Amino acid sequence: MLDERIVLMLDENVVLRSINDKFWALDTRLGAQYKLNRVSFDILSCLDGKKTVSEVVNDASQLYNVSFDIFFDDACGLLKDAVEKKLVMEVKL
Amino acid sequence: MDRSNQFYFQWHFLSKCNLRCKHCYQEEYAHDEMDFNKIIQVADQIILALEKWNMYGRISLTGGEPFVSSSLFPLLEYLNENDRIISIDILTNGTLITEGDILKLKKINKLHQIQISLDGGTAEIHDAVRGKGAFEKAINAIRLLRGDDIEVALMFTLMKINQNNYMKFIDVAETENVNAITLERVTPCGNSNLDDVLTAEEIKTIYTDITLRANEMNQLPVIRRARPLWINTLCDNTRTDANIGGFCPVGLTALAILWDGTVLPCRRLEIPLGNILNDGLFKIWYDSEVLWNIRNKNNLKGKCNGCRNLAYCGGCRAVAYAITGDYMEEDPQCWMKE
Repeated sequence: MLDERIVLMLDENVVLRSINDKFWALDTRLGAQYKLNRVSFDILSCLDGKKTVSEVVNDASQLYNVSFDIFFDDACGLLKDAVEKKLVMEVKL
Repeated sequence: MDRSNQFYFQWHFLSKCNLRCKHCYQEEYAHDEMDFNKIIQVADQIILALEKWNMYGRISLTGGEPFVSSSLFPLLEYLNENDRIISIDILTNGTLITEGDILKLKKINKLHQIQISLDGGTAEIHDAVRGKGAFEKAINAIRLLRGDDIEVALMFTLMKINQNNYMKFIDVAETENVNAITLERVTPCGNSNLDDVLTAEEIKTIYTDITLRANEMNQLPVIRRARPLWINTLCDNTRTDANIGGFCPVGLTALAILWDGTVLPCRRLEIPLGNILNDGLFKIWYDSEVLWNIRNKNNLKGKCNGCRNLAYCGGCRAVAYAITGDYMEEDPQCWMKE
């Protein structure tokens, strides 16, 4: 499980893009492209390099008007996956 | 051929040219050619992107005039060897092709077509655009190529000076047994300007005439009409011919690359997106605001937005940009009402 106290940010080479109902995370250096759903896109969009994982999940949960607890596990799973794929990196404070 | 996994690159790998055509989108011709090692670096960037995207490349090599370059044949051989490249065209003015070139071209098994620019069906018109003697040389090149069974396409750039000569052009294409022809509107950039541009009504007349002519033709050449505006020549809303009308691939499956590695959405849409050698293709393709704007059809303005023919047209973004300064504006040469 991801430590909810850490701060994450998108890798500097990764951009998030959307057209209508299609969403992507795109690695501008290595070329990888990941299709996202809207929820994943919104969660990754909340990463600003300042907020903790807990704060990001809280922000995203409010977008969908669901409780933090219900949202937390799924959101953390997504973020963990994004870290493993090097789309997202931990900010060392 | 399924084109859903194909990407088109129009690669202007040099700027040098032996002609100075009146409507050329290029204004400078004196740049030194890129060192061949650098040219290969560009090719490798293209191939890297195709591999990553699991796509296959169709490449048009052009300039300038590609046949003035000593790099042309080594580059052709390099591309020909790569499995990700499935088709190569050469876009040329046709004035420099020799019998020796034909022998070398025959060895490039992925060579699809040689496209020769012919801006008139008569020497008078063509030479007025491209210079004295250019017509005769181009016709000789067509005969050399067709005589050796190499596919030839002709490109006619529609503008004021030749607006009454397109039927003669089609006559020549038929007589010379070329494989395909394209008639494309001039874009007022480079040496061309607004005085060269035809009105929407003039384009309507020309496209309608050509459609009638195409309907009477059973053999070669194919008249390429899977391009913006042509769908409007159909008299009702029923699209009965899949070869008529087409959404421009700019921003979706196409890019243009200039002699110094500068990348444009299309050669005629002169908005630099980056440099393939410095930025790589991924950064350009994934991060360009211009490309993302173009990709979203909802961003189209004016009558292009919501047009009943949008799925098969979308207008020409280059013409819109050159005439209005806004690449998302409606196509100024479209004759459709609201």
